[in-house]
Amino acid sequence: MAAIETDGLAKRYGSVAAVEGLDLTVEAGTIYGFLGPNGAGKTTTMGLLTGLTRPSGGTATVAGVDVRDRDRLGARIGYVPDTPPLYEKLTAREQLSAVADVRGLDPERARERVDALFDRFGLAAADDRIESYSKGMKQKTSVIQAIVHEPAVLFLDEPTSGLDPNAARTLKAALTELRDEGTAVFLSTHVLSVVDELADTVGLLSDGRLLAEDDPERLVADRDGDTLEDAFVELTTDTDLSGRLRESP
Amino acid sequence: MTSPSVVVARVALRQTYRRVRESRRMTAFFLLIPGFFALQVSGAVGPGAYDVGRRFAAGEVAPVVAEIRGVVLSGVVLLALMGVLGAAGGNSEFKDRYVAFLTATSTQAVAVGSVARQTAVWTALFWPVALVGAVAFALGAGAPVAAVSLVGGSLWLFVVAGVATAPVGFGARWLLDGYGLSKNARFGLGVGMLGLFYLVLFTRRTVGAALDVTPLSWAGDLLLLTVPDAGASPYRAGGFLLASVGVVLASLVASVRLAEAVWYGDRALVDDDEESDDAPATTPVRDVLASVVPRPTAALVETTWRRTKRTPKTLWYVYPAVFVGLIMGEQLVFNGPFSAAMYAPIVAFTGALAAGSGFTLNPLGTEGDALPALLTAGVSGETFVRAKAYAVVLPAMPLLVGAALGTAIGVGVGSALVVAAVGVFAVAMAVLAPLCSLALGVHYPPGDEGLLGEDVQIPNKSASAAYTLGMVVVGAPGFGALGTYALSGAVDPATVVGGVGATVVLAAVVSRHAYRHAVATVDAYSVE
Repeated sequence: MAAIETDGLAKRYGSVAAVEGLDLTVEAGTIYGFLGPNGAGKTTTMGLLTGLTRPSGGTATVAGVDVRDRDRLGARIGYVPDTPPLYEKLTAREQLSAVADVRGLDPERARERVDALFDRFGLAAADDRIESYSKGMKQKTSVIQAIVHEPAVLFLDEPTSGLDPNAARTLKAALTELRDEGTAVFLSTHVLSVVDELADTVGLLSDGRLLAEDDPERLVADRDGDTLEDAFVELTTDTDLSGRLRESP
Repeated sequence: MTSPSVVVARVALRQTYRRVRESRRMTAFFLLIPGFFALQVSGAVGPGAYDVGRRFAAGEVAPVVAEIRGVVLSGVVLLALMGVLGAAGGNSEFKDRYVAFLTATSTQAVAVGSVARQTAVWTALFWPVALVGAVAFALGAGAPVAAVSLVGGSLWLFVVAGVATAPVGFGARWLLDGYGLSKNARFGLGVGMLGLFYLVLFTRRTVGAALDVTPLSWAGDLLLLTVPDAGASPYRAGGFLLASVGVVLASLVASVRLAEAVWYGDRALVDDDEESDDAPATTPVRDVLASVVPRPTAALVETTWRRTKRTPKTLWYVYPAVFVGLIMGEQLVFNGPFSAAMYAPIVAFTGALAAGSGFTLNPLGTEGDALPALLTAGVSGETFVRAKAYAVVLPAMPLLVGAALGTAIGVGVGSALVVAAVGVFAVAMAVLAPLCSLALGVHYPPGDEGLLGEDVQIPNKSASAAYTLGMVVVGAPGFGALGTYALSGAVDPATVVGGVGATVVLAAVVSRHAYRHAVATVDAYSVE
């Protein structure tokens, strides 16, 4: 069973199609790099796959759960949005303790796991209020919150934003470990080097449609340039291709 | 070249204006508030300035002039208090608002621009009431020239009050930052000022009379200067004008000095309830709650309490409900026909109204940035709505019922039936309040409403209005029945039981529907 499977997934706002006819398959134990220019529909797709946004059409299952069933979906996924979803007035420990309880985890086991994750991510100020954190510290807390329950699928939207090189390396190592443990990681970012380094498969979205999907090396090899950036630019500025995609049913 | 202060004020005002214009609710707020009071003051609804003008024209010169002088003095006091309250409780001097300007021009220009913006906003909101009152008086008096000094003088009073109280805002922040107090302390200051405001509001005539022998009374001469035969002294009017210009200049200087201290002092804010480093896996409060409700619900209730305690501004809308209670007490009992027994249903009704006026009026919005984490954590609508309702009912119910019963017994209600009815009425309203406000509040997602300083989402104003209406409709039969007793002093069991019973039945039906509606809305919530 694929970790993520969509069939003709769509989201329309009136006459505007934010996502249209999206067919995706992401296997367990892989990292999927989700790329696209600004306004391509990446965040909307994240919303659809995490159950935060209701689809206008098509189907999608994540870890075998229909994305419309938000209550069941929550137990199987972790989500790191671009803005850390944290209560500023709580400490990181209070926040994670509350989320662990909300998720129905055993309090003692959750505390042990949270402590281990604090150590792993080097979050020394776990008992300070989140409002006093730097952006990087908030991002670390957000990531810990998303993986505390060992989800089957982890969604991340610009996860390295605001992280210093050390923290970014820690996060990348953690994502690789999660993949090796069988977690499917769905990673949306503009930092192509991160995708190049981590992703097993890259999907390129433009105007709400999937322009291309392949492993990073083949995606580059099939184009004129030498890097993923070259392939990204070539694909997203190929107006003929975009036009054909828009016209296709 | 345009002065930098003018540019700062103009840009800040343009931003405020566009925010108001682009939001129907804010536009309605800016039109309805002055519109409502203008109708009252002018005489379009009930006796007002137009009628006072008619009396003036009919020869009642001395009493009318004395009345206007009294109104001016109590108005000066109220303006000063409102200005202080707004400055102390507001956030106009928040540095981040002006960073772009502070790196481009002098601190003096930015501080003056900030004060100008603040003064212009509150003048635009409230001065039209005085304007309409002045014109109505002139029309009633048949002396259009009277409007000149009344309009100009009242405008000047608003400007003076706005500028003169601006340093209070900077001063409040300087004190709090300088002494390492938290933002909560500022909120406490605002609440203290609100209490003082109520006190002066009720005693404004006495305060006005006391000030009549001071130079502040010269403000009356300024406003009456062009009113024919009013006997205003141009010397005293000029004296007031000169003195107030001095106050304005001194206030601007003080604002600039304080702005420099506040914006460049950069003392770190300290929270006044720092937590211990010894952090357990869970807390006793949550454990106790979890013994009676599911653990996820208990975690949400405790988190809501903890966040509310640390951000009490989320309870800001609770205070207008308390204010309504004070007004009802003053109008119905203190200066009205009802006996003190009426205080008990007033406490029950307005206490319940207050209880539902906090975070439940915008439950999704008050989750802030954390909402996606909550929704992707598998929290069902039922868990969410129950948690928010428990977070209100658990502290509010004992307080509310205790206060209502205590009041009934304390004011000497002798009938056991009436005391019991007060208790039942309080319970019904306390259950209804959070569910009714949740059912309305869930329709207002994050970002739908503006911020009340820093990161605090305030309840939507239309939700507030609909919620109040719902509470009034459900509470009316019981309130009316208890009012009948308070008016006559005679116990009519059929009226008391029938009225309170009707409220109980209505509250049960509305609460049930409200709960189901809130749950369904949260379950269907989609980030668009």
